[in-house]
Amino acid sequence: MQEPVLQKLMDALRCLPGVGPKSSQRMAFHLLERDRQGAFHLAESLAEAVDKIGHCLICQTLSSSDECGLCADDRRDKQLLCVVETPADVMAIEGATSFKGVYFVLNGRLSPLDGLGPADIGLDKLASRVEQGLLKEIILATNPTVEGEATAHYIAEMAKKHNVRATRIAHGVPLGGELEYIDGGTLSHAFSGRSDV
Amino acid sequence: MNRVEHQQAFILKSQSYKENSVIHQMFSIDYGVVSIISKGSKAKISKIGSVLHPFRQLAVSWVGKSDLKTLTSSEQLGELNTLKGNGLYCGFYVNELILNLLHKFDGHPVLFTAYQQVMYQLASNENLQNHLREFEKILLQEIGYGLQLDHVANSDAPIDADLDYTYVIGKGVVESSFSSNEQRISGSTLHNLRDNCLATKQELIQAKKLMRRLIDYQLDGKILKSRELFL
Repeated sequence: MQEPVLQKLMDALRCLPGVGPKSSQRMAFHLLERDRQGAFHLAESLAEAVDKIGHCLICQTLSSSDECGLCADDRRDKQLLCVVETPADVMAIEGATSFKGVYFVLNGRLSPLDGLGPADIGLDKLASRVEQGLLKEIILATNPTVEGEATAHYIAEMAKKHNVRATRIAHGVPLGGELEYIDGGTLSHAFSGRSDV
Repeated sequence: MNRVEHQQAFILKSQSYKENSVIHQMFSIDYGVVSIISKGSKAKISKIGSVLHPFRQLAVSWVGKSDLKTLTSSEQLGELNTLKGNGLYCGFYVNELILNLLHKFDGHPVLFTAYQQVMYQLASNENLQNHLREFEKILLQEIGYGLQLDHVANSDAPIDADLDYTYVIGKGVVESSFSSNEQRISGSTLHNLRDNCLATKQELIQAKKLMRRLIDYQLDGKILKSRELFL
């Protein structure tokens, strides 16, 4: 007979992506047998994060206060807005580029077939921000999927109405990649979006 | 239907399933709407993942006895067809119509051909309304509720381009002496809707209202989200 508390822990660990019965068992035994200190630390930080982290009222990214660090930073250019689908995208852009504007996180994308319309992903909030007239450029960094494209187009139309410049991030051949192995869709995109050298 | 090879199909809708798999609703030429799971297609090394996008014509093979089939191969057919802007919104709309109005595993080869055609037309981003109306007409025809636009209901009298009519669901075109202004539709609109050559703004609006009313009737209260995209 399995210890009920242990079983409960293993079941709880399975809420993580990619964790099945075997991995959850391994994790539980590791925490209990080899790393009790780490287990306490994990429990504490998890409880604290779930309790304190909500969404920034301005950009909707994950934040422990009403205004996230990026929105509160005076050195960032508030006229330059980058629209992304998830908070993870903000981290990716922050880590890889020298972008010095601010973000808006949609927490989703337009996907009418899943019942997600403009109001469901906070586009009305973005619209009111565009209407304020403080923006110079909106950079559309949604994913290059059909839903991401639809979202980008919708926001671009919104920007056009208020005479705000809207730009879309480029997509094409990855750096260091070889043309031979790239799929047709990406290659055709890369060709239609070619630029002068 | 254990194994199906090289079936022409389009993806209507995809949904992530577990870590790396995706469940697609596909519209195939002989089997109609089918649910197919592509295992591991989201993994970085996956070769099939890159062609599995909506609005592209594919040749797919699958196996399986249950309602959910398993994808075994997929390749793109013909040139890459990319929908943009309003054409893309219309593409979502067409997919939403099919998902809501067709039964699963019900082959509609005629509608499939119309779908194929409308996808290429939408990619051009021109004359979208005419193309959509043509597709909607074929869709209604295929599910057994085709429009009767050749003559006035219950008689052989032809439709006069200069008169006003109204379309009564389940009956057909009747002269519009009693109908409200909202549902009034001119004879010339009905002619041009039949011949797929709507031209003036008024014709386009009237035809759109009529088709919307007919489709809403079939949807039976369901709401199409893709309509919200048109600003």
